Amino acid sequence: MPDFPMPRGTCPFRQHPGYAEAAALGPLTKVSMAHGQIVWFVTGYAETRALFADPRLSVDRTNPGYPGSAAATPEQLEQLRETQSFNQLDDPEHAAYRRLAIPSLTVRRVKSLRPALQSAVDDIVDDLLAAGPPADLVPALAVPLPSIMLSLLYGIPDRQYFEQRVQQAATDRRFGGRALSELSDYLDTLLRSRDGTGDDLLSGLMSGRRADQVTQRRVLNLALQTLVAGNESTLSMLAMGALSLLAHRDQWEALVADPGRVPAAVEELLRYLSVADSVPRVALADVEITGEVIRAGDGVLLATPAANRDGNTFANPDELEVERSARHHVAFGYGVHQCVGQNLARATLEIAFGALVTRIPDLRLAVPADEVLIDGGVGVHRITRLPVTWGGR
Amino acid sequence: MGVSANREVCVGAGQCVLAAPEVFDQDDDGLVVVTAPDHPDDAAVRDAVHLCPAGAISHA
Repeated sequence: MPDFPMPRGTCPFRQHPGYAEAAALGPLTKVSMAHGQIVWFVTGYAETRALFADPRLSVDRTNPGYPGSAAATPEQLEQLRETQSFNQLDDPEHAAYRRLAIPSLTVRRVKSLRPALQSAVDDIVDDLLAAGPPADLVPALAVPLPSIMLSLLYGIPDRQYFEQRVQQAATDRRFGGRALSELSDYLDTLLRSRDGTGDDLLSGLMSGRRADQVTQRRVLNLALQTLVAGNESTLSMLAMGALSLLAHRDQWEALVADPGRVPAAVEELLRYLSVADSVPRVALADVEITGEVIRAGDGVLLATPAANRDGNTFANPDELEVERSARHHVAFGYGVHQCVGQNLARATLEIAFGALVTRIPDLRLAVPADEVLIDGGVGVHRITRLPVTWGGR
Repeated sequence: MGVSANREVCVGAGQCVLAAPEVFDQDDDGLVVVTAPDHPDDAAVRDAVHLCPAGAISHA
């Protein structure tokens, strides 16, 4: 039985070799985690989608059997219960919170944020071109852009204060924790000042708070955890997405030739990179699937990188093909907990990659792709530097 | 008959609006609205049904 977590390979944009090995054992297999906990490991696309959508699988990590909770003490579980965000709650409680967040993340609302995102990206590319090559796309683009995206989503008045701390939270090992705690205090105060009538996310959350549907602590947790999740995943997709395109020159050139292909390329990059990795669940009842029975109390890991490379669903799954139709990937999950910020993420990635291919078409890696080291094992994957150059140098 | 949506189970992901913008919209609450219920069962509508994470839309 394979162990989980699995070691990553050395190439930043290849999936864990262990995922393909697990997938070869069948769409559902088992892995061994810390403390001897054995959980289901789901690598098939159809099975992953079905289980994401199955209400008998719980996202609540305080339920016995949840992956990684084997050694948790009752006190630790109680503490987890106190600090859970809406995406760690099952319906119907989850739905009450999600419904407060979705008005600020509709397709129309995201469209209204596009001009401001475009302008932020234009400024970033202006600065890159003015400074001249070489450059590092992680601090220049991948770190600042998500903080600007979150500023716009949250309707932040003190943008410099907020964005600086959001960037620190994602990148600064020493002071990231303090930045997050400052953001918590800042958002708490800001939330209390919102009357619930604006179209930003914090106003949406407070509309329910005023109606007493939800608690202040949960609303603040939602705002903070949405910030962390949106920040890290978008940062990772910007950096690893740019790396993947530049390392597959024919794919980059296809976008330079026709930037109208960028939206499809973003879907393919989401599939190919699957940066959110394996998503934990625990069964609350017996679930029969593909000839196996997941018993009540069994932990389950939905291995989205493997599901998104299931050859039954995606032809040549290990190839990056920006022209394929990858819209049905499960990089944002599936079911009622599917990423609430996905349309904002799409817009941000489209605008960023669109600007790079149109304004710096001769952009290229300044070091070999396999020298761009990946940071961390489990959780959101990322790279910490992406040296690039352009022009004659 | 035609395209229908269950707003009770809708989670506001907006997948239907992206897949078939001439058939689906989101209201101010972010929930699905069918703007063209008699739309033929074409590829865009089938995509929307397939992509909806909550199983909230159907075409009968």
